[in-house]
Amino acid sequence: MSLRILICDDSSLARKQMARALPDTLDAEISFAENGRSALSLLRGNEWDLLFLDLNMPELDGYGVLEAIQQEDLPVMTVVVSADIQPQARERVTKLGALAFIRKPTDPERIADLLNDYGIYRPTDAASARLTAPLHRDEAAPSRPGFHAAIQELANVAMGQASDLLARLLNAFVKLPVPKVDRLARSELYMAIAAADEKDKYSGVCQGFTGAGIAGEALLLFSDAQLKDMSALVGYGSEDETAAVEALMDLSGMLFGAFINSFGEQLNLTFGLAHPTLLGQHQKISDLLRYHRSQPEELLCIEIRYEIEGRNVSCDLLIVLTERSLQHLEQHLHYLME
Amino acid sequence: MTPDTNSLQEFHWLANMVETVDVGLVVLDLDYRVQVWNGFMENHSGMTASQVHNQNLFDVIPALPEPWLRRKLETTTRLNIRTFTSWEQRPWVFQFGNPRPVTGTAEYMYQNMTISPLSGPDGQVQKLSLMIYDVTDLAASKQALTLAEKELAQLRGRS
Repeated sequence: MSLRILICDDSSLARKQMARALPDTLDAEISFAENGRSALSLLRGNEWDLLFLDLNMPELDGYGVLEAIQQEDLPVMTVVVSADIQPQARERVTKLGALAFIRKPTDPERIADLLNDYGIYRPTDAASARLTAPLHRDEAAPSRPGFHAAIQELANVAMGQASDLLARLLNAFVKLPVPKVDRLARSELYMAIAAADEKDKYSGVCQGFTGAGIAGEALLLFSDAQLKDMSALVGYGSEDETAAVEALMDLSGMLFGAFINSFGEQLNLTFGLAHPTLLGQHQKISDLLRYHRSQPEELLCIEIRYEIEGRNVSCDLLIVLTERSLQHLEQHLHYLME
Repeated sequence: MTPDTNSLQEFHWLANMVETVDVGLVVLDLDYRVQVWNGFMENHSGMTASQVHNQNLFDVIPALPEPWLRRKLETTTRLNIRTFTSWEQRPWVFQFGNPRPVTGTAEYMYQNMTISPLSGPDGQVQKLSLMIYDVTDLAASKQALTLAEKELAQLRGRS
């Protein structure tokens, strides 16, 4: 009898990568769900052997699904597949009954080992399995993901790497959003920071990166009040002006480095980093970004708001790519999206 | 660890540093064929070291100010001295985009350049090295300052 597998992830690229990471010769029927809510209704309606579950999703997230499975005693083995690799995330899902925790992007060997550990699949059976039972895939298999969807998933994984470091530094849990990906004109850039209050004063750091025809800039923005709290959290104290600069440089170095490395790694690229620059402190957002050149260029902007749980501290990470980068990016994405 | 593996490791570190330093490093032979092209040059030009290796620099980057640069290179070789160029005489040698393409004010990277003769054990110049420094921030703030000074002088003149 073939295995019934449900893959639940809001990203079509991630669903595809997950399905592709399963052993070729696995005798399985695979179905897909785009969010926690639809996964639950599928789980309630049918019998399933295995659920691969993402954590960060709109509608109902992975934690919510795990809770419901526990409460309703739904008979399925759940493997969490997440970009959020903070130790606390792992702890939480284990408490909620998840069988295992796999980091994104999914590694086929790790999946094979896992299936082997639980006696679901033996590589040695592969040859005979191939003859008797080819892999079934249902009609709802994800189509080729769009450019934005692919970028979003790359950003999701990179964001997870960066926030793992942040969580370790602050010894706290970092709440991860779904990254926003938008095309926008240079002149609209400051509007991308959706929650930014025009009256708030901000401080920021930016750092250019470039490689293989792809060029962009990473920006980290704090409102002044937030920066004080963050500076205290990092341990530099909250009063001193230089303490705030120290905290800004430390945090940006860590978040930019981890994000850009991981983003590049997934594309099989290494980006060069320019020296980071302080964007002038205690200014309005619109002033901070006042100098952007006025050419009518459309940028690709990835926006991530990190929130530290229980501390009321947040910061905005923006990754902005130039229009000229996009064709190069698309080429490098091609093999991921096929 | 034997001295051999030591020096091999040391070479590895040094190569790593040359690759990642935020300065453009190019080594040319005396026929201007590219021998070294570090990460900075790869990232900003979009051409990999293997693509340009042993190619004539002026074939690889046709946009270079060839007569001007040839003269500098020849002087360096003949006199065995370092040559310096400033963004104030020529804003850039290699036309690279602004390293901060979003918040930067200039379209291109402003550059200072140093050309160094590299001698063999006999003291003869065997290779030439180009070091490309990104001075975009410096140039932008100097230009902004000059502009502000001009405006200030005009205001003074008016009162």
